[in-house]
Amino acid sequence: MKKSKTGFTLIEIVVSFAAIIVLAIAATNFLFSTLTQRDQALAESMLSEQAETAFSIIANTIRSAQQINIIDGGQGLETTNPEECWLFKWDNSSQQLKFNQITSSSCSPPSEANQLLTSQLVNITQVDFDLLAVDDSSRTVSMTLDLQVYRPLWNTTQQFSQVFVNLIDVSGGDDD
Amino acid sequence: MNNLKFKSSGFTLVEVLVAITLFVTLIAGLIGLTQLSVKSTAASKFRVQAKNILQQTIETVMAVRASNFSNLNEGIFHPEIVSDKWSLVSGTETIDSIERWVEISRVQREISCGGERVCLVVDSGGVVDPVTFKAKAVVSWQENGQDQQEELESFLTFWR
Repeated sequence: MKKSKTGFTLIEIVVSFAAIIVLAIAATNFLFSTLTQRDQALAESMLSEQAETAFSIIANTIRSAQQINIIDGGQGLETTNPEECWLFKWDNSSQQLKFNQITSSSCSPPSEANQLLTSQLVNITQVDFDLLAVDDSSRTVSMTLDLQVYRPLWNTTQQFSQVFVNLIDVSGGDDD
Repeated sequence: MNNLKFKSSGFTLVEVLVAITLFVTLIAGLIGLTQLSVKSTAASKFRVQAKNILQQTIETVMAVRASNFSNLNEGIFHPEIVSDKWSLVSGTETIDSIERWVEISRVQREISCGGERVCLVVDSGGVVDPVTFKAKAVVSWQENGQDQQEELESFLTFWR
């Protein structure tokens, strides 16, 4: 009598299962790590893009401003020049930096800020404006922004700082 | 006579070795790719930070120039807040592993420029302009063991 052996042995099945499980775990880990890195790269690029947008708008208003006021203990900024007046204000409840602008001669800064300066996908968890050399021709605003972004697999907070020089001489005279 | 025949239905040693080599090569490639991606993400974050510091540095030089042109001198400096104003202090400064400095140098202009009020800046062979400096802001950092450097230049004149 001849015994036919056509199936798998127990050892073969166990080894195959073990190999499949190990490979599946490795593949899943690799997939998650790739997706996490993609989210991390996206989050960081969003943060720097939004910070750059905010800085560039604020830089333009500060450079040409005749009057600069820091309000709300450093959480807001008002600028005035002959043609336009700006208000930038951090809204704690929505975690956003908002602004408003009035374009007219002899304007005053708006009392409410209602437009978003950056994308809603990014939270602004802290804003700090600081005015240096108030009475000097080198009036400078230092600005610090803490930006936070949530992605499905990655969330991050990053601080960005920038310095903007006001190019208008307060006294209107030659500063040198 | 019994014909003893040994039937081998499994893999040969060569097949197994080739399969293992392929598998290992594939895994090594994937791991390498992941590491590259991690490094490039970290490097890009560092580069953004360096760019910010660079922009900040040149801006503070403009503030020093705006405050008083006669405060400017040739040399290597870094910006610092002194008595609520930006000042240039000798030497370099390191912020979060990024070294920054400003090189301030005199510039030369063409000796003659055909009646133009302001002659062009030349690298050499001109006359030193007493009312213009060149400011070169530099940030330097290490990325994957290699030195990286970014620069931003601006002319600082007596006129605003």
